[in-house]
Amino acid sequence: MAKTIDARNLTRIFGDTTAVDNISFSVDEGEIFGLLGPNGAGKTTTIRMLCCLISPTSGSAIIGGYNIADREGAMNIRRMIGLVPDNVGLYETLSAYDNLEFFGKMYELPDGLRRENVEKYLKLVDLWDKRDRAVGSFSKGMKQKVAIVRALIHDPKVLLMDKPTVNLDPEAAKGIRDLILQLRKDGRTVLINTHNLDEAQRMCDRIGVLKTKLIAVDTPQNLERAISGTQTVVVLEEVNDDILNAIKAVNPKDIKRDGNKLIIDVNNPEKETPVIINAIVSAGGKVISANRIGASLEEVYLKLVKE
Amino acid sequence: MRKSTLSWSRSETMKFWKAWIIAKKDLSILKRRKTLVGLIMALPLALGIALPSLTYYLMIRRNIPLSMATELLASFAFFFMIIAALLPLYISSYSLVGEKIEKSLESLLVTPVTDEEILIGKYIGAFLPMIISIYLGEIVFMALADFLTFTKLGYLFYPNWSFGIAMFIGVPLAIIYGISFSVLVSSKVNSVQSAYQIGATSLIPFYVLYVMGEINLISLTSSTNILLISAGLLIAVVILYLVSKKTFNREKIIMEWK
Repeated sequence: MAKTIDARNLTRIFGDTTAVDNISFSVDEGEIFGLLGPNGAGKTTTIRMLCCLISPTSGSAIIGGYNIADREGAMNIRRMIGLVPDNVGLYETLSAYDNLEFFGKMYELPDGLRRENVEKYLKLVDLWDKRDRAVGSFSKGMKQKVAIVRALIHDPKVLLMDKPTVNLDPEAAKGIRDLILQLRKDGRTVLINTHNLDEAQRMCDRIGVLKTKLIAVDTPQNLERAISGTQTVVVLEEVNDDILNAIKAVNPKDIKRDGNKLIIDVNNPEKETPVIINAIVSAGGKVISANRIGASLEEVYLKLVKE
Repeated sequence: MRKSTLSWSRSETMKFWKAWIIAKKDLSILKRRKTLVGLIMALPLALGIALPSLTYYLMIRRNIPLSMATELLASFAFFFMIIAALLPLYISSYSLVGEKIEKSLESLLVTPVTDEEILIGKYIGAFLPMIISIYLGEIVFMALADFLTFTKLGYLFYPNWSFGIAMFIGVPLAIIYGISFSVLVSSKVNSVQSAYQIGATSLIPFYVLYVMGEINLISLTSSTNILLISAGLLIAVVILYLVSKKTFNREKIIMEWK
């Protein structure tokens, strides 16, 4: 699959502070890629470099075949991308329609297509009926929707979204997430900055964990698998003291009993879990199932950013 | 390691229609700020009524000599130039600082727009309401001055060359000078208040000229002097525009505007 975004050794230094340190990643066409990281991890700086608002101190990125460090390339990139910034940045006294008309004109859309797109996208986000209301009177969710429509108005191939659901209520956030998933169906490439793990897990095809440096890049499932949990759930036909004593003899970190289900926590699951299962069977236990509890993305994330 | 620079937009040719779109957007926003529009329209209009009324009062009640009355009337041309340099502070300070406050500039800068298109758009958006308001004030001023002084003077004082030069050359240049100064200032500060305060220093040359006129070092009623002052304004406008363009740093704007 073609790489729509290809960042190579991107670095940005502000004075004595390195905001983004030598990061490389690529985003395929039609992929949703999430940049996940704590506050101050360099997510916004990365997006700003990719949409040519600030220049990298070193390194480069190619978007749709154009280099962000190249003057003419940057202008072509701006035509090709849509940005949903951290702050909606709409003209509050103007109506939603006038805001979108203005930005449509700045993107040099012909009159017919511009009006068609304003109508199409405002209908998509259920704001067509409110198009003539001043944006200042809108709720945060509605403003965010208008900001997303603004980013879509010129039908960009690439969408860069900086925390698109931050400060939104759950319903509004779900609406935005559904819209982003719809955009992927339409074949657009989406790069999302977020510190919302649940959101990243639900939407992103791949996730890059960023903490100034890019710590890991993979699918949410692979990240979870890579850092598995240390607990195993063993379901037995019957649990008795002999079985519990046999397990305790192996010295696990913790044992929790819930009826015939045991949750056993060990230091080294690869080595200790087979020994425990063996001990259970030797004590006369009949094992119905044994499953290791995988780490949640949250655990993976916390582990990665703390390292 | 490459030095961080950002001058991407400068390779593109300026599209005047884009500047016009930005200006129209600024005018739409201004239209909704009724207090600001009221102030912009009221001040020249108030001068247009107050100055002829004052002249009339001095002529009728204080019996000042006709030569002094005509000298006074002629000097008002410079008043309108001062107002022309002052009023743009209110609009153009808001036009850039307002974008900072609404955080809308990031969204604008990410569109394929050049620095020149943004700056020229801001200039036009501030110039048009100013010129309309000041010309309206000047027309009222001339009409009222002629109406009130005709019987005493025996002729229509306005229009005359000196006022014509001030109106059609001095005033537009003074407006552009005021806009240039406040655009430059407002790209460096973070509040409309600061932009007003620092921008007000742009009037110092006008005050100096006014004082020089008062102590007879210069005649502010002479067509030649009005032309010379206009030439000085033109030079200042060109310098300020070039400095604004040079110092309009997208990266700084994005990183430092809070």
